[in-house]
Amino acid sequence: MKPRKHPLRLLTPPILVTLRAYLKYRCLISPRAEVELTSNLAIGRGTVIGSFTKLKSSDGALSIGADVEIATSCTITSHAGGLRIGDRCMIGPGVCIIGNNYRYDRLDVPIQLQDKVSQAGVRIADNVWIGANCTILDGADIGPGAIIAANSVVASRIPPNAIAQGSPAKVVFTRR
Amino acid sequence: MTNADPALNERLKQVMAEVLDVEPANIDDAYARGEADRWDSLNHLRLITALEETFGVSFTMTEIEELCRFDEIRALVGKRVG
Repeated sequence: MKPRKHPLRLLTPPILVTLRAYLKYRCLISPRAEVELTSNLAIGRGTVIGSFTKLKSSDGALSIGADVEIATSCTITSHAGGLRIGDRCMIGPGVCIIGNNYRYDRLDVPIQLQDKVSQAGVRIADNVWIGANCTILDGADIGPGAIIAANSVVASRIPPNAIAQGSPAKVVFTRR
Repeated sequence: MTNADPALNERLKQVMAEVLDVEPANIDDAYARGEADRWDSLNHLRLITALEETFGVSFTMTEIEELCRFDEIRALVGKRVG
């Protein structure tokens, strides 16, 4: 594990992060969550972030809309391509939203030391429900009103109002 | 086209059997969502999509939610294609 770039964040008591986030964003972050309050991070009013969820925004813009519910034990990391979650989304427990990838084309260099890359980042529109334990990867673009069934993997476009399931997620139904 | 149309009956059973991964012979009028294996909420939506594509029909969300049994599906599809 790489050493933290900002030891001050490590030393800040979690309850102060909760308090600061409430004062700055009017959102509720569990003291048991781990949120990097960087200049890359924006959170909308009324958003709730559950315990043991990790938000990492040091590598790229991370924007979370208003009235979003993020359940427990999620991992959300942004990178150069950015990561945007719209308003009124529901993110189930155990969801991973990862805004970057790694190069792996060289056999003589450990993958860990090859470049991190971010293509288009992650875009999640308004009013999206992501089921438990889903994985949303770099390049995902989920349209408004879509629902991603639990345990699915999304790395491409999901149309508005679609219900998608699987790895990779495919549309099984369109809400109407 | 009546509810007892054999061709419609068989075609519906084929579609349901493919989506729900069951033998067509196991599907009777009382074959119902929730009681049948694999006819869960997600497979129900897959079934609706398959029915719409196969028969060229469209259902409202209310109809989709209320369809629970094979005979109900047959009646509604029969009405739409008839």
